[in-house]
Amino acid sequence: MPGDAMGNNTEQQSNPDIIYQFILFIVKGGKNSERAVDNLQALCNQWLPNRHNIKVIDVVKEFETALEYNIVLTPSVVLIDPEPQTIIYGDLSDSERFLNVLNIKRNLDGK
Amino acid sequence: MGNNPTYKELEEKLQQATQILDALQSHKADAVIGTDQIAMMRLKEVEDQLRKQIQISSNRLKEIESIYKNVPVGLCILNTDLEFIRINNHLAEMNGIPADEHIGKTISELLPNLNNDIEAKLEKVIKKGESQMNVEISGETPAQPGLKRYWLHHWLPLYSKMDNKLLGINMVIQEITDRKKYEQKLKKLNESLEERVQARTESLLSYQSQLRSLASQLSKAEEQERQQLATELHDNLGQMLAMGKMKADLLHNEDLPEETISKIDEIRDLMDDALSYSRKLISDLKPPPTLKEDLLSSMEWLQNKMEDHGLKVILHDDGNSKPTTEEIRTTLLQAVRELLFNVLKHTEVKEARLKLLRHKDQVKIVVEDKGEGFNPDEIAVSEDEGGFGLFNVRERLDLLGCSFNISSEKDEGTTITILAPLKNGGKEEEETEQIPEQSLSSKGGHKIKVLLADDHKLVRQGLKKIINAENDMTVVAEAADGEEAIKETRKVVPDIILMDVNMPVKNGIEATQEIMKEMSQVRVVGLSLHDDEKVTKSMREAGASAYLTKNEAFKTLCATIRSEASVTLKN
Repeated sequence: MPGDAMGNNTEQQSNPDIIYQFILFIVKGGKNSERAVDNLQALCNQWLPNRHNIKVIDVVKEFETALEYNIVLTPSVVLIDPEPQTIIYGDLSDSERFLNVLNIKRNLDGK
Repeated sequence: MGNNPTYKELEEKLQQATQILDALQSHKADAVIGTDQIAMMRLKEVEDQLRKQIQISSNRLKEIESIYKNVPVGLCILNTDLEFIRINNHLAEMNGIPADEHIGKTISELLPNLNNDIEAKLEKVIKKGESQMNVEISGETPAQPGLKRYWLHHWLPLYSKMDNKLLGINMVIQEITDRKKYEQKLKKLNESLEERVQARTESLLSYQSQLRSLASQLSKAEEQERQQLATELHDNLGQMLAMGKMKADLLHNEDLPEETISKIDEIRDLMDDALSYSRKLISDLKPPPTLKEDLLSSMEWLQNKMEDHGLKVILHDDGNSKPTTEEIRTTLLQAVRELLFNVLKHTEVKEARLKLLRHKDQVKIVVEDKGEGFNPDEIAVSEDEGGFGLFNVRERLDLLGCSFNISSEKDEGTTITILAPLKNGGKEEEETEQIPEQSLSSKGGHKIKVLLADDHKLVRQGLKKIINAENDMTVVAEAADGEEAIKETRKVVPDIILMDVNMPVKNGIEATQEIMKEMSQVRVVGLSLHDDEKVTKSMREAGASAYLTKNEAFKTLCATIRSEASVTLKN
């Protein structure tokens, strides 16, 4: 699993209870997709340092995977783990919304 | 849960749908994924780009539209049925019909008074799909009825960018009516200029020909004056001197005292001098009649004359015959005389070369001297005697179709070449047959019948006196000119004719020729003031069997008559 992951490794985390697993569906070269990659990386670095794993999938190349996760447009990010599986559409420029949808703030505060 | 979704599930779905719509509306999606394909979405970019493109295009279109409308060139587009689909204001104004009234109509419907089969030509452009430039069209339009106008058309086939299909013809039209007007004016101006130049040339040519004719007249007048003077000297002074001499000779033979005889002899010597001086004067003034015969002998005579004046002329003839008309011969003689006198007058040299050459159908005369030379242009316009003479010579030669060329350089001498046309293009004329000398038939015992032909009564009287003084001869008839001599000869058939060379109507040479043709038995003795070999030769060639000069006539006349008559007797 960690070998497949992109982004920060979670092995050295002091609190490795929850590792956020993301799959980011993009179209290579798409302006929104590029923005989404940058935004997700920035959000994760800020809010989930060393506690995230991002897998980027180009839907043109891995069309089946997109269908498997019911993706209807790119860019879309799917939070695989922790449950429940959640999809966020768009370029992730609205960070508030990202945090709300994924309950990240609440979870972190709950710690 | 079963088939009915829970409220939460529905809420989640709605939330997702909202998010999707939101992403789509805010252009935050790159691609939409369907069940079997992906639709790439760059709506915002595309829209922006499209908007930009549309803006640029519409600006451009406005620019083009403005140019199209306002350019001072007629522009229009016809469809393949040759109907107007677009026209600019300039062309509409040129046609005198509002622009919108053109649309959907053909040229022939709107402008029926255009010439040059414009529609037939346009159809060819449609058919071939090739452009045609610089087509001149003319005719009338409602803009200026009754005025013929001109246009230059350029026709360019118009193709669709999508499928390269021919849409119609793009026409560019320039009005050239003013240009045409100026061209026509210019043409008329040119024509009138040409006419004026022509008229001017003609008047110049006429002046030139007048000048030539004046020069020729002047030269002829000069010649006539010389002739007249020579004739006066010959006819009066010469004859009187000859008579005086004859009378003095007669006195010398009379039985007179010694003292008187010696005085008479002095008078005779003076008379001799006067006679020879007058002969020289006469021969200088006019060439003897033999010169009418051929060019070479004319030039030989001139050679002798020039030597008398102190110029040695080295004459070279190529030996070819050079038949020329009398007029040309006379002119050539005058020309060469003028040229040789020029050598004497203008150079220090005492020698000149004169070459007579046959050059195809022309006779070429070259006069060369080794003098200081001169500038031919200067002498041609100089008004001194030599210059005018040379100018005169030139004009006369020119008039007779001869060419005249001077080549002269300072210290190099002068070479003048004259080319003159030969008679009949140089074809040989039949040689006049030499009349064989025949003896006259004088009846033995009878007196020798003598006919005197001389235009001077005094001379005839003197000769008659001498002849009639002899026992064996008598003057049977007299004639005052050549023609009369022929008539009298026919009438009296004399044994001997004493024939003067210089006579009016027909000269002695011509009369002798005719007489010899008719009556070869008659013998002619030539008689002249001239003591000249050439004259002698001419008379002999004409048929005269002897020749006497008037001043020796007294001494040898009777002896000659006898000897001529004896030839007849012997035969």
